[in-house]
Amino acid sequence: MNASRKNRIKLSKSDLVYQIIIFTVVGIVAFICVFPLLYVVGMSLTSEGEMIRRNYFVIIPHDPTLRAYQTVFSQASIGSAMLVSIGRTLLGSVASLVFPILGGYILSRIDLPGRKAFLIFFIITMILSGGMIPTYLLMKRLHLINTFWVYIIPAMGSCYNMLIIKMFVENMPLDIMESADLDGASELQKMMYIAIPLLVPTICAIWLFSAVGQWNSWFDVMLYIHNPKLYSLSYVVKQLMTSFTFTDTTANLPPLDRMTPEGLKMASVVIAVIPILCIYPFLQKYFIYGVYTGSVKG
Amino acid sequence: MKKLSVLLVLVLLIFMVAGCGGKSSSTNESTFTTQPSTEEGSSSGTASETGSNTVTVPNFEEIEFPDSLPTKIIFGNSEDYAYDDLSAHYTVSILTTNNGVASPSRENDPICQWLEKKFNLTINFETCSSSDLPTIISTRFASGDAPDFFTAPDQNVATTLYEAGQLVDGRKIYPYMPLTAKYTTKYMIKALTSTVDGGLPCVTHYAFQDAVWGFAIRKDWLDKFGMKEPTTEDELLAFAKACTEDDPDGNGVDDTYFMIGACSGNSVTSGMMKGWPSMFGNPETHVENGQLVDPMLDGTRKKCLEFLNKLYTSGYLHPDWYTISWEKAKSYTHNDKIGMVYYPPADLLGEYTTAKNQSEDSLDVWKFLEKPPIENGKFVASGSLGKLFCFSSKGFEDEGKLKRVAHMIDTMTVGGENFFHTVQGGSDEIYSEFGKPVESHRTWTYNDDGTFMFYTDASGWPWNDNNYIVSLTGWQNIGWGASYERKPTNTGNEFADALNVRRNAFSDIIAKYDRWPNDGLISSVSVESIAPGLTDFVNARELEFVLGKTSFSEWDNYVNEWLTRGGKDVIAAKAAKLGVDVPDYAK
Repeated sequence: MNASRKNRIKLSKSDLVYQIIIFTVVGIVAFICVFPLLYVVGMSLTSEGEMIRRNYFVIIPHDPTLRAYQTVFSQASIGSAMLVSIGRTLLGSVASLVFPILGGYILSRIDLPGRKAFLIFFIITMILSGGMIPTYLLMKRLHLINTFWVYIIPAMGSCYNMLIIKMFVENMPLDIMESADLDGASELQKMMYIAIPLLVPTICAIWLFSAVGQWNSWFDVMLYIHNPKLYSLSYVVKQLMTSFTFTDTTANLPPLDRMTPEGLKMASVVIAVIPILCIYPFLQKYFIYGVYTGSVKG
Repeated sequence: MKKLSVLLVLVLLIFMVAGCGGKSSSTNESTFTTQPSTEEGSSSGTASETGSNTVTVPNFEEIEFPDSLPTKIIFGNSEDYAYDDLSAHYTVSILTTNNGVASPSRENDPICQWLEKKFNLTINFETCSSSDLPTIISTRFASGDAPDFFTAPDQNVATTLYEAGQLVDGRKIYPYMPLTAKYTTKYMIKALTSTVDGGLPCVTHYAFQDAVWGFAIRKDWLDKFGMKEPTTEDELLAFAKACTEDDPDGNGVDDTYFMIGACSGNSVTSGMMKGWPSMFGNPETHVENGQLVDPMLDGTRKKCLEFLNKLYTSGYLHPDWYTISWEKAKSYTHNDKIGMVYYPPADLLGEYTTAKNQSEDSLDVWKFLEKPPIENGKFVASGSLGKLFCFSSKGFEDEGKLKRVAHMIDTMTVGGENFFHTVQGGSDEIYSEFGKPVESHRTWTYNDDGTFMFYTDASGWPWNDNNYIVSLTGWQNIGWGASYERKPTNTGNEFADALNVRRNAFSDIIAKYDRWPNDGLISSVSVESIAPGLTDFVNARELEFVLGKTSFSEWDNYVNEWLTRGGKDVIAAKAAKLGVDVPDYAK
């Protein structure tokens, strides 16, 4: 014990001040980040009476209640919305990798006939999107309106992801590919056994971004889905956030008149955020890698 | 290697088709069905073939629309719908807004099932947030996927679609909706007739919360100050002074105020302040002796702002009166810091007693004013436009389908045979038909005084199934009218009964208010499209007047600036709508 104390590096006064300032600044930044989350959780556990008494500002409720969560979970649509969200996140994020990997690898081959033309074509479609109504018409022509596949199929053709893959394949050492050529490997074998294993961090980052995008997406649900059974969780939460009210049309609904729309909205947010919060710590390194990947694109 | 290259090119081509193929396919798509709108002066005709019978329906011009909304419920008559024998089956898609929870699927929706059976229809009922409705409507119409029947987000949307030939003329529909017509005022018809060909882009009737707002005052504070209900400005200012300076909550701290605005940083006469403009004259542009009169120029608006300035400079308004939101303002109101509010009685009493844990004392704290608190004042006009029911041209090419849906919608109006079946989650009858009998004790009644009432004890299904009921509220966009509702007073719950007695008494007071005519319905124009930025200019300058940053001696300069910044165009547009000459000052 004494030995360890003796071995500890003694901080000079200026270092100490520096450390205090650093910790204070980091602490404030951390508080700013965590505070909204605490507020959301606190409000979700607070009754209407307490909210009124405490000026609608509650971090730690005095009389916490789970009523808002009970109400959210009692909604008939929540179960199916959760399943749809999980389904589209898993399937959509994986589907979003297939064509970008294939396309990215192919476009990285210098000997590909018409390579430049293909590249220009893809870049144009990436920069100039079709717009809302032409896209709706496309989905209609493909008979995707009001089907689960409207979440999956459009996600497959991400030119942005394809160009990232292309760039990483191009940056792979030529020697590896040449040695594979000497061993008689076909293009498919080179892609499967050399390129893809080396691309794992990139693929993980793309998958993560795609998965988060799929989980959070609500605009496509609003436009393309008319059947409530196919609503995603984010859209259900979004509707609650923007429209939930008891004061006018539902003022007479007895089970609800002791709850506030705010509490229910906050509970919905917590429910929607928890799955992402659970997986984030494990995938954070890929997320950071993904940010870095985007920054060096091109 | 060549084979491989060909293979790779093929893969790329597949990718292009999968990811980007829409660009070419969309170019040939017809985005609008440009059918001509219904013919000039269209009417339903006088006779309608219904099976072997010929039934007469009135022409639109023959319908006698009332001058003002009925004060008592009018009942529908099933004989009025003889034009529809219900024999043919139709499919109809309906889009409207919800209260944050989407409607259940067709097979799980007891109201939908009821209406389908009753009207021989297949109904695809869809709801969305009101904020999403404009996007959904515009996308669906542009893509040829429009719903057959929908509630328009606002009149401009309905008018635009009508003028593009996308909607059926309301003049063709009203003859099939006799009950709705009885709840549609002449003013409403005039207000809707803003189309190029003079047609109606939609059908409407009473609004959800028409004429249910009033000034409520702290009765206990009045008693404490030894004052009576204020009926003049002096009496009101005396009450305001006492609220702020006499420590009515007795905590020894200067933390009570006359009012809190809840303006959310918008207009100085929004939120809880929106009851004041009508106290100083007709707050809307109107016609007097054949001349256009505008509140900005006849002194009405100035008097209102001078009054607000007195309140502010005397310190009678809460410091956050202008910026605070409605929800946040509630906490001051219900924590006994505010002496007067502008509120619907059912909401105020419900919220306040909840905040006070339903104590007996909380029942008689608030009282709604019986008379205007300013001499010669009147209350805000009633008879505003309700939901705008639009019928798409494409969806109703078949006259029989139009009749059927108009028939169904009309019976969902208050006083109609399906009103109770489609509001507040639906009646017991629809649940019995649905195969899940109701377990709660519930009562639905039309009262003798021309109002309606319903009660449920919430102990059993379906009322204990929280959001299942909320998800059904989209249906009541068609018929719900809070001004005709009174609360039950014999539920067996002593507190609830006592609370509802007071709610009803206040609703009766509000129903009898002396109000201005609804000139705004006819004269209102889209200020922002005529003069972009004018609304922001007005809001900013009016706030300066109220805060005392600009003297009222500058009022004429302000009005002149308002005129040059687009006010002239606004006045000219209003004059055109009112059918009078543009005043010289606006030329």
